[in-house]
Amino acid sequence: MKPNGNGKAKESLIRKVVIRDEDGHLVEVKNLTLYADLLTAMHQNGIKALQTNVVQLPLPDNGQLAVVKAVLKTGIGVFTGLGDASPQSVEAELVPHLIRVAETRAKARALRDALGVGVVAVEELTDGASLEALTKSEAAKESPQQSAPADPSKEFVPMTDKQRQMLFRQLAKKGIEGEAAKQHLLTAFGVNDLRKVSRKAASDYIDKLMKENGQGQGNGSHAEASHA
Amino acid sequence: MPDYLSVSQITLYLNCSLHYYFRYIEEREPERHFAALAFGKAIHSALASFHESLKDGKPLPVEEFQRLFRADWAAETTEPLYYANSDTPESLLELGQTLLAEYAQVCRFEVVEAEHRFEVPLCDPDTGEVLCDKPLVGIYDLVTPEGIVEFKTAKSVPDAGQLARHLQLSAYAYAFSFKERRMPTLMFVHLLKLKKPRVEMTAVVRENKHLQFFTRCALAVARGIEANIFAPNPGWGCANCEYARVCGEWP
Ligand code: SF4
Repeated sequence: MKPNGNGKAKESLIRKVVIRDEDGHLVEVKNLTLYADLLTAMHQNGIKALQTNVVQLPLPDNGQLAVVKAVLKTGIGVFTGLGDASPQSVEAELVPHLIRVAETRAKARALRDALGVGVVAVEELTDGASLEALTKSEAAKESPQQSAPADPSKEFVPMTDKQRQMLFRQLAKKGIEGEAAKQHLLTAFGVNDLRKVSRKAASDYIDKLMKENGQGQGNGSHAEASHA
Repeated sequence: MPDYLSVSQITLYLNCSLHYYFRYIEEREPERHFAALAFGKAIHSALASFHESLKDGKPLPVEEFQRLFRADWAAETTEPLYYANSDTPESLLELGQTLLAEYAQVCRFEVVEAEHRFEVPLCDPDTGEVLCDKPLVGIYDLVTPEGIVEFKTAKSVPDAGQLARHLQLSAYAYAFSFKERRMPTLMFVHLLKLKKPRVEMTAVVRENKHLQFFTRCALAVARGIEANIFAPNPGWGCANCEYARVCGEWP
Protein backbone atom coordinates (compact mmCIF):
# COMPACT_ATOMS: atom_id res chain seq x y z
CA MET A 1 0.00 0.00 0.00
CA LYS A 2 1.21 3.45 -0.82
CA PRO A 3 -0.79 6.03 1.06
CA ASN A 4 1.10 8.89 -0.48
CA GLY A 5 -0.07 8.06 -3.99
CA ASN A 6 -1.99 10.32 -6.31
CA GLY A 7 -5.43 10.77 -4.76
CA LYS A 8 -7.22 11.82 -7.97
CA ALA A 9 -5.87 8.91 -10.00
CA LYS A 10 -6.87 6.55 -7.20
CA GLU A 11 -10.34 8.04 -7.04
CA SER A 12 -10.87 7.30 -10.73
CA LEU A 13 -10.31 3.62 -9.99
CA ILE A 14 -13.11 3.47 -7.45
CA ARG A 15 -16.62 2.75 -8.64
CA LYS A 16 -19.94 2.43 -6.98
CA VAL A 17 -21.11 -1.11 -7.49
CA VAL A 18 -24.59 -2.38 -6.87
CA ILE A 19 -24.83 -5.61 -4.92
CA ARG A 20 -27.95 -7.67 -5.42
CA ASP A 21 -29.20 -10.78 -3.72
CA GLU A 22 -30.16 -13.99 -5.54
CA ASP A 23 -33.59 -12.55 -6.27
CA GLY A 24 -32.10 -9.50 -7.94
CA HIS A 25 -33.02 -7.13 -5.11
CA LEU A 26 -30.61 -4.33 -4.42
CA VAL A 27 -28.85 -5.10 -1.15
CA GLU A 28 -26.35 -2.26 -1.00
CA VAL A 29 -24.13 0.04 -3.00
CA LYS A 30 -20.43 -0.45 -2.29
CA ASN A 31 -17.24 1.34 -3.23
CA LEU A 32 -15.26 -1.17 -5.23
CA THR A 33 -12.65 -1.28 -7.93
CA LEU A 34 -12.39 -3.44 -11.04
CA TYR A 35 -9.53 -5.72 -11.97
CA ALA A 36 -9.54 -4.40 -15.56
CA ASP A 37 -9.24 -0.80 -14.35
CA LEU A 38 -6.40 -1.74 -11.99
CA LEU A 39 -4.53 -3.48 -14.76
CA THR A 40 -4.93 -0.54 -17.15
CA ALA A 41 -3.75 1.90 -14.49
CA MET A 42 -0.77 -0.28 -13.71
CA HIS A 43 0.21 -0.49 -17.35
CA GLN A 44 0.12 3.30 -17.50
CA ASN A 45 2.32 3.50 -14.38
CA GLY A 46 4.82 1.00 -15.75
CA ILE A 47 4.77 -2.69 -15.07
CA LYS A 48 7.83 -4.93 -15.27
CA ALA A 49 6.33 -8.35 -14.67
CA LEU A 50 3.17 -9.92 -13.30
CA GLN A 51 3.60 -13.62 -12.54
CA THR A 52 1.43 -16.11 -10.75
CA ASN A 53 1.93 -19.54 -9.32
CA VAL A 54 -0.53 -22.00 -7.87
CA VAL A 55 0.02 -22.46 -4.12
CA GLN A 56 -2.75 -24.99 -3.64
CA LEU A 57 -4.83 -26.99 -6.11
CA PRO A 58 -8.54 -27.39 -5.34
CA LEU A 59 -8.92 -30.95 -4.06
CA PRO A 60 -11.63 -32.79 -2.12
CA ASP A 61 -9.49 -32.97 1.04
CA ASN A 62 -8.94 -29.18 1.17
CA GLY A 63 -12.56 -28.29 0.52
CA GLN A 64 -11.79 -27.53 -3.17
CA LEU A 65 -9.92 -24.39 -2.11
CA ALA A 66 -7.64 -23.07 -4.82
CA VAL A 67 -4.88 -20.67 -3.72
CA VAL A 68 -2.74 -18.65 -6.11
CA LYS A 69 0.08 -16.20 -5.43
CA ALA A 70 0.75 -13.22 -7.68
CA VAL A 71 4.06 -11.35 -7.83
CA LEU A 72 3.99 -7.93 -9.41
CA LYS A 73 7.24 -6.15 -10.24
CA THR A 74 7.03 -2.40 -10.81
CA GLY A 75 9.41 0.54 -10.91
CA ILE A 76 8.69 1.25 -7.24
CA GLY A 77 8.99 -2.25 -5.87
CA VAL A 78 7.66 -5.77 -5.77
CA PHE A 79 4.12 -6.46 -4.59
CA THR A 80 2.61 -9.83 -3.83
CA GLY A 81 -0.97 -10.92 -3.45
CA LEU A 82 -2.70 -14.15 -2.46
CA GLY A 83 -6.06 -15.10 -3.91
CA ASP A 84 -8.29 -18.03 -3.13
CA ALA A 85 -11.48 -19.50 -4.52
CA SER A 86 -13.72 -22.38 -3.55
CA PRO A 87 -17.21 -23.48 -4.63
CA GLN A 88 -18.54 -21.49 -1.65
CA SER A 89 -16.88 -18.27 -2.73
CA VAL A 90 -17.74 -18.13 -6.42
CA GLU A 91 -20.94 -18.18 -8.41
CA ALA A 92 -22.11 -21.55 -9.72
CA GLU A 93 -20.96 -21.01 -13.29
CA LEU A 94 -17.41 -20.31 -12.10
CA VAL A 95 -16.98 -23.49 -10.06
CA PRO A 96 -15.17 -25.28 -12.93
CA HIS A 97 -12.72 -22.33 -13.08
CA LEU A 98 -11.56 -22.02 -9.47
CA ILE A 99 -7.87 -21.61 -10.28
CA ARG A 100 -8.60 -18.87 -12.77
CA VAL A 101 -10.74 -17.00 -10.24
CA ALA A 102 -8.09 -17.39 -7.52
CA GLU A 103 -5.48 -16.09 -9.95
CA THR A 104 -7.52 -13.00 -10.82
CA ARG A 105 -8.09 -12.32 -7.13
CA ALA A 106 -4.37 -12.65 -6.38
CA LYS A 107 -3.44 -10.30 -9.20
CA ALA A 108 -6.11 -7.79 -8.17
CA ARG A 109 -4.70 -7.82 -4.65
CA ALA A 110 -1.15 -7.19 -5.81
CA LEU A 111 -2.28 -4.45 -8.20
CA ARG A 112 -4.30 -2.72 -5.50
CA ASP A 113 -1.33 -2.70 -3.16
CA ALA A 114 0.94 -1.35 -5.87
CA LEU A 115 -1.51 1.42 -6.77
CA GLY A 116 -2.44 2.21 -3.16
CA VAL A 117 -6.13 1.42 -3.73
CA GLY A 118 -7.74 0.45 -0.45
CA VAL A 119 -11.15 -0.70 -1.59
CA VAL A 120 -11.49 -4.31 -2.73
CA ALA A 121 -11.92 -5.34 -6.34
CA VAL A 122 -15.24 -6.75 -7.49
CA GLU A 123 -13.41 -9.91 -8.49
CA GLU A 124 -12.12 -10.43 -4.94
CA LEU A 125 -15.59 -10.51 -3.40
CA THR A 126 -16.46 -13.85 -1.96
CA ASP A 127 -20.08 -13.42 -0.98
CA GLY A 128 -21.46 -14.85 -4.21
CA ALA A 129 -23.76 -11.90 -4.69
CA SER A 130 -24.38 -10.87 -8.26
CA LEU A 131 -22.72 -7.61 -9.14
CA GLU A 132 -23.42 -4.90 -11.58
CA ALA A 133 -20.76 -2.28 -12.16
CA LEU A 134 -22.06 1.21 -12.67
CA THR A 135 -20.60 4.33 -14.11
CA LYS A 136 -20.09 7.06 -11.55
CA SER A 137 -23.07 9.11 -12.68
CA GLU A 138 -25.39 6.13 -12.62
CA ALA A 139 -24.07 5.21 -9.21
CA ALA A 140 -24.75 8.67 -7.89
CA LYS A 141 -28.44 8.08 -8.51
CA GLU A 142 -28.36 4.84 -6.59
CA SER A 143 -26.03 5.69 -3.73
CA PRO A 144 -27.78 6.71 -0.53
CA GLN A 145 -24.82 8.95 0.35
CA GLN A 146 -24.65 10.83 -2.92
CA SER A 147 -28.19 11.11 -4.19
CA ALA A 148 -30.49 13.91 -3.34
CA PRO A 149 -33.16 12.58 -0.99
CA ALA A 150 -33.42 8.94 -2.03
CA ASP A 151 -36.84 7.43 -2.31
CA PRO A 152 -36.62 4.65 0.25
CA SER A 153 -39.65 2.91 -1.21
CA LYS A 154 -37.71 2.16 -4.42
CA GLU A 155 -34.14 1.51 -3.30
CA PHE A 156 -32.49 -0.44 -0.57
CA VAL A 157 -31.07 1.83 2.09
CA PRO A 158 -30.03 -0.05 5.23
CA MET A 159 -31.48 0.93 8.58
CA THR A 160 -29.36 3.24 10.70
CA ASP A 161 -27.68 2.28 13.99
CA LYS A 162 -30.14 4.57 15.72
CA GLN A 163 -33.10 2.74 14.19
CA ARG A 164 -31.66 -0.62 15.22
CA GLN A 165 -31.30 0.73 18.74
CA MET A 166 -34.86 2.02 18.74
CA LEU A 167 -36.20 -1.33 17.60
CA PHE A 168 -34.48 -3.06 20.51
CA ARG A 169 -35.62 -0.36 22.93
CA GLN A 170 -39.24 -0.64 21.81
CA LEU A 171 -39.15 -4.43 22.09
CA ALA A 172 -37.59 -4.14 25.57
CA LYS A 173 -40.61 -2.05 26.55
CA LYS A 174 -42.78 -5.02 25.59
CA GLY A 175 -40.61 -7.32 27.70
CA ILE A 176 -38.82 -8.83 24.67
CA GLU A 177 -35.08 -8.59 25.28
CA GLY A 178 -31.69 -9.91 24.22
CA GLU A 179 -31.62 -12.90 21.89
CA ALA A 180 -35.43 -13.11 21.92
CA ALA A 181 -35.57 -9.54 20.58
CA LYS A 182 -33.09 -10.35 17.83
CA GLN A 183 -35.05 -13.44 16.79
CA HIS A 184 -38.28 -11.43 16.90
CA LEU A 185 -36.83 -8.86 14.49
CA LEU A 186 -35.35 -11.46 12.12
CA THR A 187 -38.76 -13.09 11.89
CA ALA A 188 -40.66 -9.83 11.63
CA PHE A 189 -38.50 -8.61 8.74
CA GLY A 190 -38.11 -12.05 7.14
CA VAL A 191 -34.30 -11.77 6.98
CA ASN A 192 -31.40 -13.82 8.29
CA ASP A 193 -29.27 -10.76 9.06
CA LEU A 194 -30.44 -7.45 10.47
CA ARG A 195 -28.13 -5.61 8.07
CA LYS A 196 -30.61 -6.56 5.36
CA VAL A 197 -33.39 -4.51 6.94
CA SER A 198 -34.15 -1.35 4.98
CA ARG A 199 -34.49 2.08 6.55
CA LYS A 200 -38.08 2.31 5.38
CA ALA A 201 -39.02 -1.10 6.81
CA ALA A 202 -37.32 -0.24 10.12
CA SER A 203 -39.10 3.09 10.26
CA ASP A 204 -42.50 1.46 9.67
CA TYR A 205 -41.85 -1.19 12.29
CA ILE A 206 -40.66 1.36 14.86
CA ASP A 207 -43.90 3.28 14.30
CA LYS A 208 -45.89 0.10 14.76
CA LEU A 209 -44.08 -0.80 17.99
CA MET A 210 -44.39 2.72 19.33
CA LYS A 211 -48.11 2.67 18.68
CA GLU A 212 -48.39 -0.67 20.45
CA ASN A 213 -46.40 0.80 23.34
CA GLY A 214 -48.77 3.75 23.51
CA GLN A 215 -46.23 6.27 22.24
CA GLY A 216 -48.09 7.53 19.18
CA GLN A 217 -46.62 7.58 15.69
CA GLY A 218 -43.89 9.20 13.65
CA ASN A 219 -40.74 8.61 15.64
CA GLY A 220 -39.56 5.84 13.35
CA SER A 221 -38.98 8.28 10.55
CA HIS A 222 -37.55 10.81 12.99
CA ALA A 223 -34.92 8.28 14.00
CA GLU A 224 -34.22 7.69 10.35
CA ALA A 225 -33.77 11.34 9.52
CA SER A 226 -31.71 12.34 12.50
CA HIS A 227 -29.17 9.62 12.01
CA ALA A 228 -29.09 9.27 8.25
CA MET B 1 -10.77 13.31 3.28
CA PRO B 2 -13.18 14.77 5.85
CA ASP B 3 -13.76 18.52 5.43
CA TYR B 4 -13.69 19.04 9.19
CA LEU B 5 -11.43 18.16 12.10
CA SER B 6 -12.93 16.27 14.99
CA VAL B 7 -11.44 15.67 18.39
CA SER B 8 -11.38 11.93 17.72
CA GLN B 9 -9.66 12.46 14.37
CA ILE B 10 -6.97 14.55 16.03
CA THR B 11 -6.27 12.07 18.81
CA LEU B 12 -6.32 9.14 16.38
CA TYR B 13 -3.90 10.86 14.00
CA LEU B 14 -1.53 11.63 16.86
CA ASN B 15 -1.70 8.06 18.18
CA CYS B 16 -1.16 6.45 14.77
CA SER B 17 -1.49 8.38 11.55
CA LEU B 18 -1.65 5.18 9.48
CA HIS B 19 -4.65 4.05 11.53
CA TYR B 20 -6.14 7.46 10.75
CA TYR B 21 -5.39 6.94 7.07
CA PHE B 22 -7.15 3.57 6.93
CA ARG B 23 -10.21 4.89 8.74
CA TYR B 24 -10.70 8.41 7.40
CA ILE B 25 -8.91 8.57 4.06
CA GLU B 26 -9.47 5.07 2.72
CA GLU B 27 -12.68 4.63 4.72
CA ARG B 28 -11.79 0.97 5.00
CA GLU B 29 -14.24 -1.49 6.47
CA PRO B 30 -12.88 -2.54 9.89
CA GLU B 31 -11.34 -6.01 9.94
CA ARG B 32 -13.02 -6.65 13.27
CA HIS B 33 -15.29 -4.85 15.72
CA PHE B 34 -14.15 -4.57 19.31
CA ALA B 35 -16.55 -5.37 22.12
CA ALA B 36 -14.99 -2.64 24.29
CA LEU B 37 -15.98 0.01 21.76
CA ALA B 38 -19.49 -1.40 21.34
CA PHE B 39 -19.82 -1.49 25.13
CA GLY B 40 -18.78 2.17 25.40
CA LYS B 41 -21.32 3.06 22.70
CA ALA B 42 -24.17 1.28 24.51
CA ILE B 43 -23.20 2.90 27.82
CA HIS B 44 -23.08 6.34 26.22
CA SER B 45 -26.47 6.01 24.53
CA ALA B 46 -28.08 4.85 27.77
CA LEU B 47 -26.39 7.75 29.60
CA ALA B 48 -27.68 10.21 27.00
CA SER B 49 -31.26 9.03 27.58
CA PHE B 50 -30.76 9.20 31.33
CA HIS B 51 -29.46 12.77 31.08
CA GLU B 52 -32.34 13.74 28.78
CA SER B 53 -34.73 12.46 31.43
CA LEU B 54 -32.99 14.61 34.05
CA LYS B 55 -33.22 17.61 31.74
CA ASP B 56 -36.97 16.99 31.35
CA GLY B 57 -37.31 16.80 35.12
CA LYS B 58 -38.52 13.19 34.95
CA PRO B 59 -35.51 11.12 36.00
CA LEU B 60 -35.59 7.54 34.76
CA PRO B 61 -35.90 4.95 37.53
CA VAL B 62 -32.77 2.79 37.77
CA GLU B 63 -34.57 -0.29 36.41
CA GLU B 64 -35.66 1.64 33.32
CA PHE B 65 -32.13 3.05 32.87
CA GLN B 66 -30.75 -0.49 33.01
CA ARG B 67 -33.39 -1.78 30.62
CA LEU B 68 -32.36 0.86 28.09
CA PHE B 69 -28.77 -0.29 28.41
CA ARG B 70 -29.77 -3.93 27.96
CA ALA B 71 -31.63 -2.98 24.77
CA ASP B 72 -28.72 -0.89 23.48
CA TRP B 73 -26.25 -3.65 24.26
CA ALA B 74 -28.46 -6.17 22.44
CA ALA B 75 -28.53 -3.82 19.43
CA GLU B 76 -24.72 -3.58 19.52
CA THR B 77 -24.19 -7.31 19.76
CA THR B 78 -26.18 -8.23 16.64
CA GLU B 79 -22.82 -8.09 14.82
CA PRO B 80 -19.91 -10.38 15.73
CA LEU B 81 -17.62 -8.66 18.24
CA TYR B 82 -14.05 -9.31 19.34
CA TYR B 83 -13.92 -9.76 23.12
CA ALA B 84 -10.68 -9.02 24.97
CA ASN B 85 -9.47 -10.98 28.01
CA SER B 86 -12.23 -12.88 29.75
CA ASP B 87 -15.05 -10.55 28.65
CA THR B 88 -18.22 -12.13 27.31
CA PRO B 89 -21.50 -10.59 26.12
CA GLU B 90 -23.06 -11.65 29.42
CA SER B 91 -20.26 -10.32 31.65
CA LEU B 92 -20.37 -6.94 29.89
CA LEU B 93 -24.15 -6.86 30.16
CA GLU B 94 -23.85 -7.39 33.91
CA LEU B 95 -21.04 -4.89 34.24
CA GLY B 96 -22.90 -2.18 32.34
CA GLN B 97 -26.00 -2.52 34.48
CA THR B 98 -23.97 -2.34 37.69
CA LEU B 99 -22.02 0.73 36.55
CA LEU B 100 -25.12 2.61 35.45
CA ALA B 101 -26.97 1.85 38.68
CA GLU B 102 -23.97 3.18 40.59
CA TYR B 103 -23.82 6.28 38.42
CA ALA B 104 -27.55 6.97 38.87
CA GLN B 105 -26.95 7.01 42.62
CA VAL B 106 -24.09 9.49 42.59
CA CYS B 107 -25.20 11.72 39.71
CA ARG B 108 -26.00 15.25 40.88
CA PHE B 109 -25.56 17.07 37.61
CA GLU B 110 -27.90 19.74 36.40
CA VAL B 111 -28.33 18.98 32.73
CA VAL B 112 -28.32 21.72 30.13
CA GLU B 113 -27.68 19.44 27.13
CA ALA B 114 -26.92 15.76 26.61
CA GLU B 115 -24.83 14.57 23.64
CA HIS B 116 -24.49 18.08 22.31
CA ARG B 117 -22.70 18.63 19.00
CA PHE B 118 -20.44 21.66 18.60
CA GLU B 119 -18.68 23.20 15.62
CA VAL B 120 -16.20 26.05 16.00
CA PRO B 121 -13.43 27.51 13.86
CA LEU B 122 -9.87 26.67 14.79
CA CYS B 123 -8.40 29.99 15.91
CA ASP B 124 -5.47 31.24 17.91
CA PRO B 125 -7.01 31.55 21.40
CA ASP B 126 -5.23 34.88 22.00
CA THR B 127 -5.42 36.72 18.70
CA GLY B 128 -8.55 35.10 17.23
CA GLU B 129 -6.67 34.52 13.98
CA VAL B 130 -8.25 31.61 12.06
CA LEU B 131 -5.55 28.98 11.74
CA CYS B 132 -7.21 26.37 9.57
CA ASP B 133 -10.01 26.32 7.00
CA LYS B 134 -11.51 23.18 8.53
CA PRO B 135 -13.80 23.65 11.53
CA LEU B 136 -13.40 21.67 14.73
CA VAL B 137 -16.40 19.49 15.54
CA GLY B 138 -17.21 17.18 18.41
CA ILE B 139 -19.90 16.02 20.80
CA TYR B 140 -20.02 16.91 24.46
CA ASP B 141 -21.41 14.01 26.49
CA LEU B 142 -23.01 16.38 28.96
CA VAL B 143 -23.25 20.14 29.30
CA THR B 144 -23.99 21.56 32.75
CA PRO B 145 -24.39 25.25 33.68
CA GLU B 146 -20.74 25.22 34.77
CA GLY B 147 -19.17 23.35 31.92
CA ILE B 148 -18.56 19.95 30.36
CA VAL B 149 -18.73 16.41 31.70
CA GLU B 150 -17.01 13.65 29.74
CA PHE B 151 -17.72 9.95 30.35
CA LYS B 152 -15.30 7.10 29.85
CA THR B 153 -15.48 3.36 30.37
CA ALA B 154 -12.00 2.24 31.39
CA LYS B 155 -10.01 0.02 33.70
CA SER B 156 -8.36 2.94 35.50
CA VAL B 157 -8.38 6.71 35.83
CA PRO B 158 -5.52 8.49 34.06
CA ASP B 159 -2.89 9.85 36.46
CA ALA B 160 -2.41 13.56 37.11
CA GLY B 161 0.21 13.91 34.39
CA GLN B 162 -2.01 12.28 31.78
CA LEU B 163 -4.98 14.41 32.82
CA ALA B 164 -2.90 17.56 32.60
CA ARG B 165 -2.12 16.86 28.94
CA HIS B 166 -5.39 15.17 28.00
CA LEU B 167 -6.06 16.60 24.57
CA GLN B 168 -9.76 15.81 24.42
CA LEU B 169 -10.49 17.89 27.52
CA SER B 170 -8.36 20.75 26.20
CA ALA B 171 -10.28 20.58 22.92
CA TYR B 172 -13.59 20.77 24.77
CA ALA B 173 -12.34 23.65 26.88
CA TYR B 174 -11.26 25.41 23.68
CA ALA B 175 -14.63 24.90 21.97
CA PHE B 176 -16.64 25.86 25.05
CA SER B 177 -14.61 28.99 25.73
CA PHE B 178 -14.82 30.00 22.07
CA LYS B 179 -18.62 30.04 22.26
CA GLU B 180 -19.20 31.10 25.84
CA ARG B 181 -16.23 33.44 26.32
CA ARG B 182 -15.41 31.75 29.62
CA MET B 183 -13.41 28.72 30.68
CA PRO B 184 -15.66 25.75 31.58
CA THR B 185 -15.29 23.55 34.61
CA LEU B 186 -14.36 20.11 33.31
CA MET B 187 -15.30 16.82 34.88
CA PHE B 188 -14.22 13.34 33.91
CA VAL B 189 -16.57 10.54 34.96
CA HIS B 190 -14.87 7.17 34.74
CA LEU B 191 -17.06 4.09 34.80
CA LEU B 192 -14.42 1.67 35.96
CA LYS B 193 -14.53 -1.85 34.57
CA LEU B 194 -13.14 -3.53 37.66
CA LYS B 195 -13.98 -6.70 39.55
CA LYS B 196 -15.83 -4.40 41.87
CA PRO B 197 -17.11 -1.84 39.34
CA ARG B 198 -17.18 1.75 40.51
CA VAL B 199 -17.66 5.30 39.31
CA GLU B 200 -15.01 7.97 39.81
CA MET B 201 -15.38 11.66 39.14
CA THR B 202 -12.33 13.82 38.56
CA ALA B 203 -12.34 17.57 38.13
CA VAL B 204 -9.81 18.83 35.61
CA VAL B 205 -8.58 22.39 35.24
CA ARG B 206 -7.74 24.04 31.95
CA GLU B 207 -6.01 27.37 31.37
CA ASN B 208 -5.14 29.39 28.33
CA LYS B 209 -1.82 27.56 27.88
CA HIS B 210 -3.72 24.28 27.42
CA LEU B 211 -5.88 25.82 24.71
CA GLN B 212 -2.76 27.13 23.00
CA PHE B 213 -1.20 23.69 23.11
CA PHE B 214 -4.33 22.08 21.75
CA THR B 215 -4.62 24.45 18.79
CA ARG B 216 -0.96 23.85 17.91
CA CYS B 217 -1.59 20.08 17.98
CA ALA B 218 -4.74 20.41 15.88
CA LEU B 219 -2.94 22.60 13.36
CA ALA B 220 -0.03 20.16 13.11
CA VAL B 221 -2.50 17.34 12.48
CA ALA B 222 -4.35 19.35 9.81
CA ARG B 223 -1.04 20.05 8.06
CA GLY B 224 0.07 16.43 8.30
CA ILE B 225 -3.17 15.24 6.71
CA GLU B 226 -2.99 17.88 4.00
CA ALA B 227 0.60 16.86 3.21
CA ASN B 228 -0.38 13.18 3.00
CA ILE B 229 1.89 12.19 5.88
CA PHE B 230 0.78 8.85 7.26
CA ALA B 231 3.02 6.39 9.08
CA PRO B 232 2.49 3.47 11.45
CA ASN B 233 3.14 3.85 15.15
CA PRO B 234 3.47 0.29 16.46
CA GLY B 235 2.74 0.17 20.17
CA TRP B 236 0.02 -0.33 22.73
CA GLY B 237 -2.67 0.89 20.33
CA CYS B 238 -2.12 -2.00 17.91
CA ALA B 239 -3.93 -4.46 20.18
CA ASN B 240 -7.13 -2.51 19.62
CA CYS B 241 -6.58 -1.58 16.00
CA GLU B 242 -9.23 -2.70 13.55
CA TYR B 243 -6.69 -2.60 10.69
CA ALA B 244 -3.90 -4.71 12.18
CA ARG B 245 -3.90 -7.17 9.27
CA VAL B 246 -3.63 -4.65 6.47
CA CYS B 247 -1.11 -2.69 8.53
CA GLY B 248 1.03 -5.83 8.73
CA GLU B 249 1.17 -5.84 4.94
CA TRP B 250 1.89 -2.12 4.68
CA PRO B 251 3.25 -0.44 2.56
S1 SF4 C 1 -1.71 -1.94 13.79
FE1 SF4 C 1 -0.69 -0.37 15.06
S2 SF4 C 1 0.76 0.65 13.70
FE2 SF4 C 1 -0.68 -0.46 12.41
S3 SF4 C 1 -2.27 1.01 11.89
FE3 SF4 C 1 -2.97 -0.08 13.68
S4 SF4 C 1 -2.29 1.16 15.42
FE4 SF4 C 1 -1.12 1.83 13.62
